[in-house]
Amino acid sequence: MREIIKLVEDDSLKATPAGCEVKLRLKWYRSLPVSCIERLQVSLDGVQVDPAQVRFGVNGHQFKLEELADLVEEFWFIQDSAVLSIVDPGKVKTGEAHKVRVEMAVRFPYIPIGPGKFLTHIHDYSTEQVAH
Amino acid sequence: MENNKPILGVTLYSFTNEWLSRMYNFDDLVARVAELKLGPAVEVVGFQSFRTYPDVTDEFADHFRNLFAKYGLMPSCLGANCDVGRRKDHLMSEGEILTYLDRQLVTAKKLGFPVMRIQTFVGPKVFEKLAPMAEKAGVHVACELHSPLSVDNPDVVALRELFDRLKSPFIGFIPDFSSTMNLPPNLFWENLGSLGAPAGLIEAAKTIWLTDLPIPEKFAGLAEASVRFKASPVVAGQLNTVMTMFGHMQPGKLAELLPYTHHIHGKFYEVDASGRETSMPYPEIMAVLKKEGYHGTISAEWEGHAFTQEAVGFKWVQAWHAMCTRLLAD
Repeated sequence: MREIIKLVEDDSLKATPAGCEVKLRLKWYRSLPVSCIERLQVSLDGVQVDPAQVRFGVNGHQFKLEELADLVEEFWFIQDSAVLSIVDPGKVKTGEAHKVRVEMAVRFPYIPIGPGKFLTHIHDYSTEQVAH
Repeated sequence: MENNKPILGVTLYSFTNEWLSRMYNFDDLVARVAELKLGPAVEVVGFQSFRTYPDVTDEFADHFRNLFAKYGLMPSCLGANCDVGRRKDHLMSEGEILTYLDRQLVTAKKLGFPVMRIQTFVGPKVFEKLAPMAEKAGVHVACELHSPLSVDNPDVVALRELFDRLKSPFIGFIPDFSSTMNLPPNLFWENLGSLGAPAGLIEAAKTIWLTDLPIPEKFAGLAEASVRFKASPVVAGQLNTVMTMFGHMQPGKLAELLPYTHHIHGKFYEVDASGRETSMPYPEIMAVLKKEGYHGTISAEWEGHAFTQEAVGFKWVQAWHAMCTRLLAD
């Protein structure tokens, strides 16, 4: 199938004063509580980014990865892009091309597949983009 | 006369591809449904369409009601969800489940939905406690019965026993035609092929699906075929969904569910040039509904978006409406 909704949006890499960011889409049909993001890993140019430097943003708020599991009332609306930020000033400059790889595991909290177990999708997406 | 016929409509879930691609906002999507005459009954999945769900503001509720009135549409069913696994380390307690569903009942009532869909896994114990809440809200709360939940599934039998005991008109079922299929849809097999499944494996899977073996034996048969045809893990995983997404119940069995039914999911995948759904026996299904005098609502529920991301939902829903209107004509 032709992929139209991509984990990392095309042409979304942006250099920021804090470092850089890309936009993420939730590849599902309904919004989910942010607490259902089980794993979020980012690599930049083949090097895994320290999780302490990664931030996840929805609804105008920015969260550390360790905060996500408790966000049961923060919903990622299915039409919205989330902002994945890397805090590393100067790492990405406008006009430069960089390879970004994102791996995200999402638990569907209403689709039980066994005692205490839920259907989980793992998405792994790589893209090379020129930073805005 | 119309009182003896089902009321046709659509679930906005059919337009998942259009929605995810941001081709429409909510108001424009509803306007398009009205323009193409795909109502009057409109179903909405709360967590898909409403940004503030499970809650909505009074202002939004006013806006929603005015919008539907303007286009002559009627809200049919609110698709609710029970996110019992929202925390990784523990499941929602019974109290948390009831609170979560009560919020969604309030939303259904505010927006004017007469039916709220929940999932069968909440079970009879929670459902019994939900019944008075549904009654208070004046909203019929119903369990969706998609594949593999056929009439004689033990979970379904347990719920029927509860409904017969409580005799409340505010609890019931939402049958889904994915339970009564002739064969899994072409889109499914095409997608499997594009993932690298060999033709022999696809033929073997079709044969296994058509047998009357118990579900666990069918899963075992599929696993054996996957090994025999050296299927990749992705193909083997997709193959298992053949048993969970597509059921093989006889259409006549639907009659047993209709006394508990106010709303139906008219699941479908494609309608061919001759106006026939190729994987489901719509003529037989509609004949059962007519014979039983079913006069609740039915949503066109196109689920081909599980296998393609192209924005083709409107085309298919129009074809479904033409087919069902023809089949329901006297």
